[in-house]
Parts: sequence; structure tokens; C-alpha cells
Amino acid sequence: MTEAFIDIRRIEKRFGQVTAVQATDLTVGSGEFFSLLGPSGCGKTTLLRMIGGLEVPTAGAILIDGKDISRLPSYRRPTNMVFQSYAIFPHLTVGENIAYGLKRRGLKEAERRREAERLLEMIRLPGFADRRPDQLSGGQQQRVALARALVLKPKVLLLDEPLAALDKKLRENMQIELRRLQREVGITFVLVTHDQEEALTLSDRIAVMQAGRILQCSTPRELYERPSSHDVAGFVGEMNFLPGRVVSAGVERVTVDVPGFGCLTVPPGAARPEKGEAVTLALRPERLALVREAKDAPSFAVRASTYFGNRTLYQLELPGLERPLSVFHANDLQRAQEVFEPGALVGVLPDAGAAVLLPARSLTNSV
Amino acid sequence: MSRLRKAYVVLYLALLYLPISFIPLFAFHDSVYISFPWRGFTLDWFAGLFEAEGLLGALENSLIVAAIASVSSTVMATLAALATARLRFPGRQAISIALLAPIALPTVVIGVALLSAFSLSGVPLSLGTVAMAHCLFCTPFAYGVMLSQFRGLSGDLEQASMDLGEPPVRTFFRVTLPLAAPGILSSLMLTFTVSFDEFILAFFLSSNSPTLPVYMWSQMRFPDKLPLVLALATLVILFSIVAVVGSQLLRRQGRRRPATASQEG
Amino acid sequence: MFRSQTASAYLLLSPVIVTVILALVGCLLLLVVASFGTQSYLDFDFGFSLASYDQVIESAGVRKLMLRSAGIAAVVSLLSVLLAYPVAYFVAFDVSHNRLFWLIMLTLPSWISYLLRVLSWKLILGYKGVVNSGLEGLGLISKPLEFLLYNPTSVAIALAHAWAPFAILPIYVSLQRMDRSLIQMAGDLGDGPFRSFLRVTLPLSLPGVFAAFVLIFIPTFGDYVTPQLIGGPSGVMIGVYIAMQFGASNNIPLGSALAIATMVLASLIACLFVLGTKRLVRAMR
Repeated sequence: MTEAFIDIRRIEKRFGQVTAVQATDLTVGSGEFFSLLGPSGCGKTTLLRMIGGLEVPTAGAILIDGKDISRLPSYRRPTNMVFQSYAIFPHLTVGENIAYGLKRRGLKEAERRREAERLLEMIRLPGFADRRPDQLSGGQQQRVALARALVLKPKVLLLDEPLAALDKKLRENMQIELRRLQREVGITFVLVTHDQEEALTLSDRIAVMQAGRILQCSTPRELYERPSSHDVAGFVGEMNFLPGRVVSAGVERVTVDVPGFGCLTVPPGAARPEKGEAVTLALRPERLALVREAKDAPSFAVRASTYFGNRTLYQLELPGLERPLSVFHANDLQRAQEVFEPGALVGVLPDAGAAVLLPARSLTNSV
Repeated sequence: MSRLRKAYVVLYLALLYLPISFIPLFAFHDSVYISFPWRGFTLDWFAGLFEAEGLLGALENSLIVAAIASVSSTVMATLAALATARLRFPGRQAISIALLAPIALPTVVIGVALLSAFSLSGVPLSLGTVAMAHCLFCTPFAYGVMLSQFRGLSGDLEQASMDLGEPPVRTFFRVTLPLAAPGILSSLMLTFTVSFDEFILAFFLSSNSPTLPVYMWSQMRFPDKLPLVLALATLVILFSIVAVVGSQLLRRQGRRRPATASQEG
Repeated sequence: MFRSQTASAYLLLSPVIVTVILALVGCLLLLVVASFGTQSYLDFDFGFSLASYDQVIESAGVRKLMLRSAGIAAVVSLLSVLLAYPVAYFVAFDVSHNRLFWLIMLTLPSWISYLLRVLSWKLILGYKGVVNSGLEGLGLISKPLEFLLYNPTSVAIALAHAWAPFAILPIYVSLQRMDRSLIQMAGDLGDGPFRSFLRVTLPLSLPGVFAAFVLIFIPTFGDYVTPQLIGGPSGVMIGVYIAMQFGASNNIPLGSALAIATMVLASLIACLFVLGTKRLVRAMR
């Protein structure tokens, strides 16, 4: 675990009766690309703004590089923010925008111009210094906002849903750009997003938030393959939740009886369950294989299928459950020929080793 | 249906401007009396303005009062609009309404209220009392302009400036003021015009130093002075038009924002 | 940002609060106090006497003036609003390009000196005015018409002309803010253009209509310039009478009481109108 560069201790934000961020602890390492992921209203933007000094915490402390900055206004913090609306100054040129924060540092005009040019090269907009903001497209404005913050070499760069307003193709390109830039300058990035794919692609670590609390904080792979709760499991990617009862519980493995599947042996979860306890197995749709002949494999009827080009999503009827079983069937060389019609019985081979053991929860209100 | 509406609007405009257009029309009329058809064209009345007794004095008074009223009301309104548009605090709605409400009050009531206050507290009536009254009267107008100006500009810009290192006062001068400048200019022009044209408060509170409208009023009771009044009125109307159009165009320009995100890279 | 927002806000607001809010409220309160005073010729005393209010309520003359003022103000406001509505509708819905041009053209007259606009009506309706000399010149009349000026009707006409443009802007703003898709939805659900206007557009634009009405009604109620200039003895309105108490008639308590009564009455009537119209429109649905 990297040393805490940003150390957030029991931070809390209340607006009157509403608690936007509940007492939360968080650490971010130096040079890390860290994301705050969650649905609208979960408190991620409030948390970001508290780090940047744009919101005052109701309780708690924030330390950056060992120094307590909790009481400092935004203009005295070693952080800079890229706003969701970009907030480019319309009355200044692109170059003047980028060099805006340098004036206070006493740089002469020639030096400021040079720095602006350097950043324009970095964001791949050379020669744009004399353009006016209303002549730029959305993506270009976004890069200028980025450059304006980076030129000040902050200890932490905060990004508030920077790619939200861009269309899909542009967003993907900008994601690559962002990652490249972060690696190049080595600054700690904290990104806020509601797009889980974006978080998974860009981040070294992700904190999933909901209703003001952090549900889980780990690497993208950990988050995707070992979610710690129903909410996290359901929020990031597609997930199957299968009810079951524990048959035997060991240190290395647990055997669960799942209706329709029989006994499955899965890795143990966070807490060792009791024999006979009701549990839920979370299994990703791509961790189930479909076979035409179903000899020993459990079989289910196809309810519906959706074609995604490189794969097909099949929804199969599970006995006694409302929600169907989701299975991703790759349309690769071998299997592209297999198409299963609605109503047909298909054999399913689960990859039990990839299942996540979670406590039981009423499946009617899981995500 | 919309063509019908357009015709209606054109008719409406014509009827709106027709009565006012008679003033410049008869300002050039070669006769002390109004009559149809016209008797002849003359510029005598305009020339006569320079010799009219008390006219230049009244004009000077109006300019002084208007200058004081426009500057002070704009400054106060700008600070107030900054507060109500950008900050969250209890009583915000109430104060905003209270600042705009005086526009709906009968001016006579405001006039007699101020008159009573001044006379009962022993303050003699003068140009100063008129200036104070106009200051009060013009502020709601200035506030309306500045409020819409600040509402149209994103608060993010000031936050961004502070995030980039500039403390609040420097942010005000580097970002807020330049962006609000068209609105401020517009407000100055508008309040200047409002004060310049204002009659009732000036009438009640000016005593020996009349403003231009008060002067015009006093001349209106003399039938032979009518053409002179018309000539003066024509110039005032011209001035008002220029000031108001300029102010509106500036206001439009001040709300210009950078293009919202488009689809190119 | 780190001092309380409330403190910063009130600091910025302090000049305006003192100059506008406190000063105005203070002066109005003074009027209220003065209305309870007594006056004997040139001497004014503070006191507690209901004599002025007695006069206000009892006097038939005052009642007549109030009624006339209310009547004229009501006619002027209603007329202004009705005439302005199609104009506002036009600019909000039928114009897409030169909106600013139309708005400037329409609101410009309201910024030209009020005094001058009333003066223009004197030119038109006067004894030797445009109408009279025109009709005489055409041979339609032998003597100038005297009834054109110096009566309540001429006051109402001049007021309507002067205040009409003030009705346009509030209604326009209200219409422009409307969600256009609501009208389309009404159409989808089977309403013809007129019905969708009655059931969707009109109710949603009511705030603007009310604002326009109140904006015109209250100041017109207490107007001074127009009745004084072209009202004559039969066209006197309450504003003129109030001013007289502070001038020639020198009866400050009465003047104050009248001013307060005027404000209260005008606001009351405006409120009643707003509530009444709301009920009416709701019933029409």
C-alpha cells in the first residue's frame, strides 16, 4: 500500500438536515490515478470539492503531503481543479487562460507565454495561444482547462466528471490522453465519475461511493472480480446473484447448494459462513459457458438474447426466480456458429472458482 | 395566424410611436400654434433654446443629479447583485424582492414620504435631496440589470479563478469585473436616463434648483413657450433613445459565453 | 469563502439596505406616524388622532376620488395587459432571429420621459391640437371640440398609451420560459391550437400577466402627472389630491393618511384581481 499522500480523516459534510458525505476515511498515494465512482448524489463531487477547498467540511481533516490543509481556502491549497463546465474565462485568450495562475507567482510575460506554449504542446494544441475560447470545440476547451491546472504543477489534480459532456468516441480518445498525461507529469489525479467503464480503464484504484459512504476501495481488478457487497457487485458491470445454502465451510473453500446448479465449490468470502447459512453467490455473466448438449450440466431455457456484435447476451430462466440468468457468449472463432433460440434448453457450465460469496439478501431489492 | 399577429404588432408599434412623433414634428413647425396642415419649417425654436432663461441651469442640475444617481445606484446594486446571485444566506429571496419592489410603488407616495422625512427632520430641500431621492429610485433598476448579468455568468468562473490561486479581491478585479463590465455600463446608461427624465421626485424635492423636467413643466403653462418646450423635448427624446438602445446592446454583449461542447475533437 | 457566507453577503448588501430598504421603510413608517398627527394651519404636531382617517373614510369626495382612480387604473391595466399579450406572444413564439430588435423597438417608448409622452397627448387632443385642427381643416367641424381633453377619459387614454409597453416585458419573459414541448403534448393528446392555448399556454403565462397587471395598476392608481396635465377638474385623481395636501392645502396628516390608504387599497385590489383570475382560469380547464 503506497504511503498516504492525501490523507482524509473522518471527513463529513452536512447541508442542514442532509448529510452529503458521512464520516469517511480515505488515503491516496503519491502519483496515483484515483477515482471516486458512484451514481448521482452519492457525495463524490462534494468529497472532491472538499479536497479542493471549494466546500468546507463540517467535521474531519484533510492532509496533503503531511500538511493539514483542512482550514485553508482553495487559493492557498496545493490542489487545482478541472471543472465539469470547464470554466474557461471567456474574456481571455487560450494562452492567457493557461497562464492565468502564473501571474500571481511573479512570472514575467515572456515566461508566462513560454509556459503556456509548453503546455499547449503537451495537450496537442500547438499554436492555439491567441485563439479565443468561443472558437474552441468542447474537447479542446476541456484540454485547455486541463493545461491551465497542470501548468501550476499542483500536488494534486482534481477532475470533476471532465468527460461527461463529450460523445463516446471523443470520450474514449480523451481517456487515453488523460492517462498518458498523468503518467507523463506524475501528478496525483483524483477523478470523479459516474461511468464505471471510465473508472476501470483509467484508475490505479477506485473508491465506490453510495449515499455518502465509501462501499469499497481497491484496484479495478479487485473491484470487478472480488466485490465486497451486493451494491458494489451490481453497480460495476453486469452480475448474476444466485441464492444458495452452505453445505460445508472450510478454510480454503466453501461448498454451496444452489438450486438448479447443485453443489458448487467456491472460494471463501470475507467472513467464514456457518453450515446451513443462506448465502448469495455473485457470478459474472462471462464466467458461465454455454454448451449445446447438456449431459451432466444443469440446463435452463433461453428467455431472450441480445446481440452485441462481439458477443451475445443470453437470458436464461432460473427455477423459482424472477430475474433471469445472464450469460455472455463470445462470438469468437469456435463458438460463433452456436446460436441458441428462445425456448431451447441450454447447458450451463459455471466457473465456480470465480464466484464471490456474499451474505444473503432479499433478491427483490438487490441492484 | 402568425401573420395576423405580426400585422397586429406592427399596428401596435405604429400607434405607440405616433403620439410621440408629434413632438419633434411640431418642434420644427413655423408657428406658435399647432395646426394641421403644417405652416412651414423652421429651426428658430431650437436656436431659441440657447437664450432661454434658466434652461442651461436646469440642464446642468439634471446632469449633476443624474451622474450622482447613476454612479451610486450602479455601485450599490452591483455589490448587492453579487451577494444575491453568488452567495447562499438567509433572507436572500426577501431582500431580492424588496430591492425590486419600489418600481411598483406610486412615485407620488415615495415623493411625499421623502418630503415628510426631510421637512420633519429639518433638512432643507435642494439639489442634494433630489440626488438622494434619485439614488433610492434608480437602485431597483440598476439591481435588475446587474442581477440578470450575474445570473447569466457562471459562478464556476470565480471559483476557478480562486482555485488557480487568486484570492477573492483579485478574483473580483481579474474575472468578475471585466465580465460584468458591459452590464455595469448598461446599468449606468439606464439609470442616468431614468434620473434625467424623472419628474415627480424632482418636483417635490428640488425647491429652487429645478431639474430639466421640472423646468419643462414650469414652461408648459405658457402657451407661447410651447414650441420651445417641444424643441427641448425633441432633444431629450433623442438622447433617451440613444442611451437606451446603447444600454440594451451592451447588455446583450455582456452575456456572451463560450460555445458549449460540440462534437469535434 | 471561509468567513461565513452570510456575513460576506450582508457586508455587500449593507449600502443598498441602508439606502433603499431602510430609507424607504423608514419614510413610509414616518408617513404612518404623521397620519396620526394633527395640523392647524401651518403647525404640524405629532399626536394620536384619528381625525385624518375619519376624513378619509367619511368624506364623499375622497371616496369619489378613490373610486375614479381605481376605475381608471383598472381599465388602464386590463387594457394594457390585453393589448400587450398578443405582442408578447408574437415576440416569444413567432420571432426567432431579430428578437432583440423587436424587444428594443417595443420597450423603447417606455424609457422616454413620461412627462413628454403625456405632453404629446395634449398636442393631439388639445383645443388647438392635431385632432381639432385636422378636423377643422377638413371642414368636418366649424369649432374645435372641447370635450377631447380635461376629462377622465383623456386621462385613461394617455395613461394606457404611456403604460402599455410596460406590460409587454413581464408577459414575454413568462412565455419565453415556458417548455414548448408541453404545448406539443397537448396537441398530441387531442387539443386544437385554441384549446391548448387556453389549457396550457395561458395558465403557464399567468405569473407574467399578474406581474404586468400589478406593475401597472399600483403606480397608475396614484398617478400625478397625467391628471394634473390633462385631467382638468373632472379628471382629478387621488395622487393629485395627495400632493395638494403637501403643498397648497397644507394638511400633512390628511396627506399621509391618504397616501397610506392609497397604497393599501391599490395593493388590495391588485391581490384580489390576481386571486380572482387564478380561480377563473382554473375553472376554464
